[in-house]
Amino acid sequence: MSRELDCAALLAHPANGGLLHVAGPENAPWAGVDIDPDLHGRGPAPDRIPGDSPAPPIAVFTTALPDAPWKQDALIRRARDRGYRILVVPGASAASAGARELTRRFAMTVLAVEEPAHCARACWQLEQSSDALALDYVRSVAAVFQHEAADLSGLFRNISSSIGHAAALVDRSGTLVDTGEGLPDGFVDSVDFDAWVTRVNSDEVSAVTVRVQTHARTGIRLVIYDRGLADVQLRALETMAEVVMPAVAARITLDELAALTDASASSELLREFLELRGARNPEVERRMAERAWRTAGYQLGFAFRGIGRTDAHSMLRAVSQKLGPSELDTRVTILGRSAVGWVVLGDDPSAERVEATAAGLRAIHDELRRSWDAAMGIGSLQSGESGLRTTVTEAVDAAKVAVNRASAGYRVRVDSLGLDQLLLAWTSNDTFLPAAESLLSPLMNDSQDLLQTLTTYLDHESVVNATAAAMGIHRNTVSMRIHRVQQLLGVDFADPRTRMALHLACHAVLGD
Amino acid sequence: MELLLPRAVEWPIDVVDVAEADPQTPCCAVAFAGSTMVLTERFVDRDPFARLIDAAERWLGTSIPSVCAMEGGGINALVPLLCEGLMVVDADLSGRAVPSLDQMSIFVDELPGLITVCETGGGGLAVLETDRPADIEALVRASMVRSGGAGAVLLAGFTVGDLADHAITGHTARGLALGRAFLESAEATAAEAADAIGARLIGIGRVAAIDHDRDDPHLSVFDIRTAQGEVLRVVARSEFLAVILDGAPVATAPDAIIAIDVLSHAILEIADLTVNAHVAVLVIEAAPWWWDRAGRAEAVLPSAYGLTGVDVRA
Repeated sequence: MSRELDCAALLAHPANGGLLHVAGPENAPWAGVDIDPDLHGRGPAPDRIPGDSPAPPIAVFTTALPDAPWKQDALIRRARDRGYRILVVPGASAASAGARELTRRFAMTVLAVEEPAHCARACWQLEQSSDALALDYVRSVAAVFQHEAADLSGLFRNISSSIGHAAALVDRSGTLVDTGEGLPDGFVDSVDFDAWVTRVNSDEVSAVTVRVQTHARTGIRLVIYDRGLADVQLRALETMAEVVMPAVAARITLDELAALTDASASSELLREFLELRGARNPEVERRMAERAWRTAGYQLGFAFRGIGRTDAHSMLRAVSQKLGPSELDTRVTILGRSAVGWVVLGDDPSAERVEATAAGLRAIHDELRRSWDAAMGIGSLQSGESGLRTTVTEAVDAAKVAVNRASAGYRVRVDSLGLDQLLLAWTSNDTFLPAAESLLSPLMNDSQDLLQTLTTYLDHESVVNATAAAMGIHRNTVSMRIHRVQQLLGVDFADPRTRMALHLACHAVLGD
Repeated sequence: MELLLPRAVEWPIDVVDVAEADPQTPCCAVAFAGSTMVLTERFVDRDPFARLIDAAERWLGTSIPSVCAMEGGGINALVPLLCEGLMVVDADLSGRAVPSLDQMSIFVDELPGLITVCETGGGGLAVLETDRPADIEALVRASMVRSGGAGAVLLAGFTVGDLADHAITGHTARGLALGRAFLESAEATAAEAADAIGARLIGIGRVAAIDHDRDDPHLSVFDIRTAQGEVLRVVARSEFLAVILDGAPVATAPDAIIAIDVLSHAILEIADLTVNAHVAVLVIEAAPWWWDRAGRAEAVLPSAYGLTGVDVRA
């Protein structure tokens, strides 16, 4: 879709002399510019036959709009009679309500301007000299590099303010940085990520995108966008974007390097903390305090692990980006192949808040899975220093288990029932037996009939007749005992995970 | 005037056509000048112009047996009827209401030998004789201030015959005809009422806004939106001076610009035009006298009031 020159393109020009829309349609087309035209000639202007000519020129006036309302009306009418449809007038913002109504009635457009000469130059650039326009953009953006930006967002803000249009960084998952009012929904889907330079035109914005070449990250593009940009402006912005892209790439590389360094340091710190197992280490405590890693209060651990070969640093970046806008107070770093962290919940959080936090983490996992194959583990609610170790360790182990839990959406949460906890403890044998005994304790009557019956029942794939035959008892007795087990443990035998966990526990307790 | 006239004079009153009177007959033109608001609060003498006529007769050395109006519009159209004993001639010096004495037709046509007599307050009178009408306006205004804001004014030094060439004749007859036709159309629509009185209907709409000029506080611009969406503006000072429709002037002084309430047909003065008032704007063409000779209309066009860009010439 090509865009002809219209008022919107002139309004979008960053050096248009301070143009402001006053009345009438913003998409009125134009071709050419007349400065201080003579409006007192009789009849229509020469070479402008209504219905037979291209778009009319813009009339740019250097004298201010008259104060008298009837003189404002007269100016508009005479301009209309001379064939003009767009008027650019200093002080037009003060136009009376009647003058604005007359503008609309005549299907004209009135723009207020502060510097008419600059406006005329902008018209000339748009119409005659796209090279000059590109040169202006490049000159403007070159000044940006004289000022050091604190981070990537700061660099984009500097670029945006210098060229007068919004700047953004996107990848296939969405927007990474944006200085404007936001790219419209579905914008990323319409971008050709394989092309070097592309244009995107929608009802809301027009944009140019350039592939950012950096080894630190792939699949990212620089986007310059605004409303109402004409083709000539888009061409000029393409040139500017190609010029500024290497600076963006360099900034990304530097930021990635800094992030890698920081991730390594924080990962090492977390490892040291977990290995302390309760021992005190002032140096570790100091470094944790520097990072605001508090251990007081309640925490909920989480871990995101790639399914298949995944770069942990990339996973950490993706997780951090999703956590950033959320309301969760989190700390996150790398541990092994996972992005690991915890949610700080303060003192004595309510059950509702804990569940809302878990729901928030699940939502982040869902978002992440749109572009990553990732499993997530959530630990149990814990408090204090030892609790932090516990919940983080649970989350890491849960994430490992979740990798194989497609039916559960690649998500495992260590819950209060303890079944998952039991299975996790399988990885650590010295904790499994106590956990199994604890789980099955309601069945531990003197004769252990119930435990034996449950074990045999599970050995025989939950078939009552086979269980009865194996034990030499009536089938009704088996049914009655299994029903009693269900009541005592409060489990659902229909869940295969439940059966597996119980099966393991029974054999562990019985010592066979 | 409505209270004064029935009691002050003997009715019926003969109003003589200019052509029917001896052209050599000396004549004077009378009016009240100054603030009309002050006039409504003051008791008027039974024969308010008697002293002024005496002074004019002493100055001119001749009696003045006839009288005409200065303004054919406004309350001054009926003022000559207060002059008992004088022949009332059906003529006036403007054909409408005008704010300045130097806009009177005999001054515009630069008749020689004219004098002006006005009250100066405290029983005093001033007699002015000059070739510069602007001085008359300035001096009479100053006298009105001394006289408490309003007072009687008289112009003399001309004859009935002068009125035939240098005045607008027949305002009384015309006014009666207009008034009767207007009353008879009380139940008609505004458009029909306009047609009945020979006026041109410019537009019907509601007052959307009232703007005041930043530099001239006496200048008001009424922004009216018609039912057809037109932008109709009426520019006024102490009277309506111009009508602009969609940016083009369509009527200006000396035409008579009238605003009436659409429902009641009440004739609206400037102060009656408020926001949301539902009005019809009518125009009655000015007396041809103003256009019969070059230079006359310039005295009463809006440009004479300092309003540029809206003059409409016949």
